[in-house]
Amino acid sequence: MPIPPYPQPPSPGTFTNTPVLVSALRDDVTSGVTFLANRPAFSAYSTGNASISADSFTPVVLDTEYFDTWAGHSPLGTYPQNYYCQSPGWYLAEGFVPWNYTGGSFVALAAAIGAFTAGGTAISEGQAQVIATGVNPGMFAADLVQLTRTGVPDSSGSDYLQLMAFTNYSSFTLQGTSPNLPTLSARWVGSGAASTLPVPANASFPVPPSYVDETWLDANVRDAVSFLSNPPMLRYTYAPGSQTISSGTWPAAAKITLGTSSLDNYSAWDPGSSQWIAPAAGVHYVYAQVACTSASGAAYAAGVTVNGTTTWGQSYINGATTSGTIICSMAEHFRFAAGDTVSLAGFQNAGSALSVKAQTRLCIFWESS
Amino acid sequence: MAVSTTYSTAGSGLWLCPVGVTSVQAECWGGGGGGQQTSASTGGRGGGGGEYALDTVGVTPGRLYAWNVASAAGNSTFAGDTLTVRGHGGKSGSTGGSGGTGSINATHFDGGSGGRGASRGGGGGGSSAGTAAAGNNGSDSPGNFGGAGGTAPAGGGSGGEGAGALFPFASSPGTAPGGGGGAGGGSLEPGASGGAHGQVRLTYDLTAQPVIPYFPAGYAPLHSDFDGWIQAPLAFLTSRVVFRAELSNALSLTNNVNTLIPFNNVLEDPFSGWNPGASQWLCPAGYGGLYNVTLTVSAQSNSSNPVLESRIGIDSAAYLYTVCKTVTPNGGPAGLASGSQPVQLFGGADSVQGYAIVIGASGAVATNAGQRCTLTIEWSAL
Repeated sequence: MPIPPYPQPPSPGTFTNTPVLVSALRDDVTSGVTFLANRPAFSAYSTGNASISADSFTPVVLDTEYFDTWAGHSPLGTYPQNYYCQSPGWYLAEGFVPWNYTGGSFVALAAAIGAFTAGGTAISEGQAQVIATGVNPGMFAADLVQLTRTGVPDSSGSDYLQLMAFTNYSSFTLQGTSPNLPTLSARWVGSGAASTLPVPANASFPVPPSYVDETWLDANVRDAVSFLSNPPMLRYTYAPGSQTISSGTWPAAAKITLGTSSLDNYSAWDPGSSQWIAPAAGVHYVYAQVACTSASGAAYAAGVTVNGTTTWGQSYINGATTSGTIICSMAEHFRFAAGDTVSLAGFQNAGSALSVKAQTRLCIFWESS
Repeated sequence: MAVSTTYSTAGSGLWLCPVGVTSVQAECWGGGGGGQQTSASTGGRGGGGGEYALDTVGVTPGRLYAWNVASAAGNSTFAGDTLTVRGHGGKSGSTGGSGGTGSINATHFDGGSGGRGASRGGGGGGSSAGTAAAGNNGSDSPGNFGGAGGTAPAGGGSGGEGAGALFPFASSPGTAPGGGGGAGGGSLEPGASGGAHGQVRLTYDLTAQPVIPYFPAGYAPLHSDFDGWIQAPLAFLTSRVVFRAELSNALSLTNNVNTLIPFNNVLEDPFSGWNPGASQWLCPAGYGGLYNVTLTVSAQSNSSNPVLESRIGIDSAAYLYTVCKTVTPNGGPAGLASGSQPVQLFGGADSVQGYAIVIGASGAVATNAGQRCTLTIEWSAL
């Protein structure tokens, strides 16, 4: 690969009583900073009014790129629906699927992110709505996805992402003109390795005659680069069970208990309280998603509760059906202080409790101090 | 690592120069000329093959560059900052069938010419030029038989075979990129075939630029060098450009009208990019790059459940990105639509706005804490 996926910091003690090697500085600083400033990023969309067949998750061909900084996608290639991993790590994948609704009652529509890796195929559903009247809805989806096997576009044996659309009703197409464009975006977020490093202080180099030692260099070079390439990250999902959301009065929030961890590199999740305790201060990206059983005429919402106060993202009202699953979500940036508690919040007012579904998840990662 | 992008379908488009790329090796093959169709006793002339041209072109990261892949007989081009690479198309058989020629680029090879017709036999099309050799001419018809197409050199496309009264009974088209078409064989087999489209290939090196310089062997950094080369980049990556704001004021939303959201409560804006008069955030000069934008909009509607859309706008809605469209309640819970989209911004030039549009009913934004319109913008990468 052209640039190391993340820096290769020397082991503690490497430079004890010896000069710092230029090669180590290159790896630890130049390559690290270059990568972090130029991390893989991609966004492309579809203009083709894609036809979506019923009852399966259909990949959307992405014929036009906004940008693709590491050339992981080829709009003229064999598989223009795929974005291929160019550097191992965890990626934030975001998608938007706008629909041409042409009629039909109780039509379930959804957006999803497909991840194809050595571990198999994983389809992460995003927002899902059930439509019964003449509207053109559009669903957002996001997830943190680990990709490891790199390869040029169309190569076999490489990990890749897809934007997917779902309907249970035949003969639907997607919209394909601005500003309603089916879009897939992905950006490298971090390596996901276990860590306890603090937010870098980035101290200035002392003016002579002061001198720096290994401890100073480690903290201000090695650990700084390492933190930035592996910031605090979380992905927790609902472990399928018997949890329900009680019918509430707006804006009373119900805390959702999450039980399955796929990423928590700072061990910041407290299973007892089912909340994430921010290990570092800073601005964080948060994607909160709540899925639960459909109920006729009910309103739904998803959000997060930070230190007891809830902020809501998307809400939705179900037209008239009791079949299927309703999924609401929120994409937002929050500034957290170290120690802030963050939990997933759900709402519904069906008049009776509704079951939480497996598509429920919470994704968080540190972005900036 | 060298990366190649090939455009091999006739048409035009834009190529976005990746981060760190300042030069591109651009290769262009002109389109092949079509064979001459004739119903006279003498067969027609084959089309000429397309020219190949190569040059190293200066480009600027983040800019869009136009490419054009020619259809038959046309010129394929790629235009960089100051230099255009152009591979000329071959002439059609009816206009002489000569191979494409005329490039002024650093490396270029002419296409092969189409072969001549003879009694009841059409000439073969010339091949396009390859990456290291000129194209080969199509064969002249020996009479009653079509002439063979020019054989393609490495990287080129073959010429098509001419038609003949005895064999073959139909001409064949040139192969891409840029092969000339075979000619018709006269009155008995008059049909000619078209030339192939051209091609544009861009090759560039993603390792072209380090953000900070390499350290020379034996280098002992000065404190000022350390600060400029290490501390400053790391400090920027640690504390990126961020803007966060929400709307706590009332705002009416008219049915089916894209409404600019006048965020009034700026939560953080260290680069002072927010312009309250225009309700937009200007990307600070010197800090262009890819930004992640998250937008949540709210609408407390007053009649039947409408659709609420959150839209990110760039440069006064010159570019709009819808990120969520949801059917919202008309009572009780506020309608909320939330989504995110990365966008490319040029420092000092591009501005970002948030828009809400409600379709099916009018309404007003929710002003209660936790249900407000919010906009966040954060630098993500160069």
